[in-house]
Amino acid sequence: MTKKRVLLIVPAFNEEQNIEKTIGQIKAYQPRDDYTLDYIVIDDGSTDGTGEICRRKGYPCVHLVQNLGIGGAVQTGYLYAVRHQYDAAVQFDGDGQHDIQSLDAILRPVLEGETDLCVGSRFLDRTSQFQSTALRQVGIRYLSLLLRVLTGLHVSDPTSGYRAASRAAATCFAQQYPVDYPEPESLALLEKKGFRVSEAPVNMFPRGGGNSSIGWKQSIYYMIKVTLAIMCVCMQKKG
Amino acid sequence: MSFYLRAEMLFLAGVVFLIVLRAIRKGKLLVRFSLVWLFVATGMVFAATCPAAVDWMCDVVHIEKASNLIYLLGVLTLLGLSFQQTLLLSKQSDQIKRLTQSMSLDQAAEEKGEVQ
Repeated sequence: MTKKRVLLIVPAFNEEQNIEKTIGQIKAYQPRDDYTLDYIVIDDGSTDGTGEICRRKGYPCVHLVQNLGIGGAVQTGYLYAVRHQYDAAVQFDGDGQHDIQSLDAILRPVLEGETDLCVGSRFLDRTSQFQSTALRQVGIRYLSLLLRVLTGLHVSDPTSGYRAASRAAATCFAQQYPVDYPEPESLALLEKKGFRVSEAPVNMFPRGGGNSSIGWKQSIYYMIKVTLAIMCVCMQKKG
Repeated sequence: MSFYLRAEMLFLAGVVFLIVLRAIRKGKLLVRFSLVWLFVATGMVFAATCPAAVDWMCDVVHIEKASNLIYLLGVLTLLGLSFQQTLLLSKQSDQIKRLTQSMSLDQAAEEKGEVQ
């Protein structure tokens, strides 16, 4: 039986403090026997040493010639996965917050054809080492409720960037992916197109270094923008 | 419509024509994007030279003074142009994103030796 091919998409913007540790984690991981695991770093036009580290260490990397933001970077990863005909693609943040040991939890349902997108959730069994701040958890619960009301999706951690996509879902994302703060909107988009979305518990770590891209001003913009975007997606025709 | 308003509109239309034509000549403005501005300036000339048409429009839309109608049309035109620019900006942002992704992926393939 031919092994399935899985690609880890590692978007990184100014992650010189974390990228080596993240890639070290991936390289040390022993995947199950039924698939092979590759990874690609998407250097999103970093202005620090991230790109240089990737070149020096020989990490497989796409250096975006200019910063596109997280949506554009992740979509580049999906384009890469489609070009190289991977069976599944997994988003895995370059800041070291995602635990590679949780990979199988989100990948198994996708590889076994049970779902098209499996979202890694910190809140399903509450064992994750990182649960986010109280204020952000309120925002996450609001977005979860909004998705449930507008699309019928039950996702407890809609802002999670740790997610596995089937080839079909990856192809869809390669064609259309929201630009900024894309995670909740992309779930609504998939649901609208008739894909199956599920979730599985994963572990996440607090940031090792560097700064989060979302401050309080961006948080306000985030909530307004994402709410509006989900509503707009819901108004689109199904399929 | 007062003589002064008509004179001001003719003067402004002349300024618009001048600025737009100079920008085209210097290669700063594409002809296809200049048409809308030339159309606006032509409309101003028409309103200044045919005040009866403006008065007739005032009667139709129940606006008492011709100057109010002119300002209203000006605001609506600018809003329309602004929206058109936003649409163009959105389209071009997407095109730039696609171009960046395509270029970067090709570059990565070249570095890996996948492309001869």
